[in-house]
Amino acid sequence: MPDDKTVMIAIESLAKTFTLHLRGSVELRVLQAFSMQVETGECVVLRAPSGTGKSTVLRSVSGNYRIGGGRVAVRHEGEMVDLSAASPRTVMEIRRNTIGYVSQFLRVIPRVSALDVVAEPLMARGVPTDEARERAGTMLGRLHIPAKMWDLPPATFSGGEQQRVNIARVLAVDYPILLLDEPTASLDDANRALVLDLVREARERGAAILAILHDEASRAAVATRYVDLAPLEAAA
Amino acid sequence: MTDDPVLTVTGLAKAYGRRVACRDVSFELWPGEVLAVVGESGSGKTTLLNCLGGLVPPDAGRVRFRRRSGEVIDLVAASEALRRAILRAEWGFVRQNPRDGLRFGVSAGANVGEPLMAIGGRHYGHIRGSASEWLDAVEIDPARMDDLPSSFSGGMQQRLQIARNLVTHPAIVLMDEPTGGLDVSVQARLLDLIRRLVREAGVAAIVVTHDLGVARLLADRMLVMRQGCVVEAGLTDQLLDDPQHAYTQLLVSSVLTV
Repeated sequence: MPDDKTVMIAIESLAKTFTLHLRGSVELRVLQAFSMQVETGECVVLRAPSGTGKSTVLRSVSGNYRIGGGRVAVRHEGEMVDLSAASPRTVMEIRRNTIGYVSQFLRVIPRVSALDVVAEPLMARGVPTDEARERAGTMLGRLHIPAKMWDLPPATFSGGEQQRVNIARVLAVDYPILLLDEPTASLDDANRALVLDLVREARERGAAILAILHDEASRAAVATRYVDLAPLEAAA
Repeated sequence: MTDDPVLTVTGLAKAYGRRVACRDVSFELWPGEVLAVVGESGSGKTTLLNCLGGLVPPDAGRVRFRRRSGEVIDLVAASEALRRAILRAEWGFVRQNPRDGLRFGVSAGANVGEPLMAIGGRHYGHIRGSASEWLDAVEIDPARMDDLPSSFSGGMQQRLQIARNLVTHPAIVLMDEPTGGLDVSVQARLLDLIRRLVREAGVAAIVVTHDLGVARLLADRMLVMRQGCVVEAGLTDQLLDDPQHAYTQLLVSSVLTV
């Protein structure tokens, strides 16, 4: 592949099969020979019916799933890094500095306030505590999380509030790559529009975005391109 | 962050008679990193920790530790005196049972101050000041400095042990089931505290736990042990969300939620 500096995510012939050892080693083939690229300033939306492996693609790029076969590379500090060959420490560094991943649900941490949940990734990148908390507050404010809730742990928040905290945590950092797994799924129309605005802003500042979005209106609002994931024939 | 590991363990083995407790365990640990060791009872995880912490001599293997001075020492091959000196000055060990990790005959303040004296602290006022700060850091009212640990609850005793082990600013802290036997709200408080202190102090930690939720919350990386062997190793979330080995899949599928 030519080293085109605008390519941020390069997926070549990605395959993923889950072997369920507890069920007689049955094999679930989820992805096969899947290839795509995402360039800087793009928002590519993955389309496919549920259960076709869209989230598996995102999780493979984030390092949450091991690369089953093929190659997934992301541009980290100027160089394409092959995730299947990267050490856990390299993956940790890529997550700290390069990839922001909005999962479908917030993983709440006991006793940690919403403000600190959002400030944490900034602090991990070396932003001083005060500045990190200020930027966290700004982002929570933009997502209409009232200031009186910032000091509370998000465990007691509603699903939509938790999801906005989850989004704030990632979008408060200007990651070069964003992976968004249904970021608007549990939001009402007004909050959905807020999130889509932020995604558009991230795209305009040059982030490479790979997203899963279910509703047509959200896709139309942010997508620059669509990639369809073809269902595999059922195995086993 | 430096590129050199603070600890490099290779081929560590320990058997009790014919029963193998640890077999060919190898891993590296970097400064500031938290490594969880998970597995069921009898998997060898506590033996591993005890070998590292100098409580049990391993039968084979190397435990190379990079000292503050930059010098790399194999703790297995080192003399008893040097090993003790290094462990005292540059390591901490939070035991599962506070009775093993605290001295119950002396006050809370003395429990925190003693390690400083053991590494050469002489100024009583400074030692008492540090003890007071560390009690506060682990959320124990410094006014209780002169109380005996036996007057503390289980959760407080565990926090006191953490203060006792971090007061010397160690490079590595070993923790054996630090939240075992505590009720959930106390666990949450302790986990939050460990998470914060480990990060602030930049200390590397090895946490033995059978609780995958604890591993998820605290650890960057994880080793899964079974019958004395490491069966799987990697990023914590990758091992929990995409376990490859049959035993890891069994562990993950056996918990309610992680």
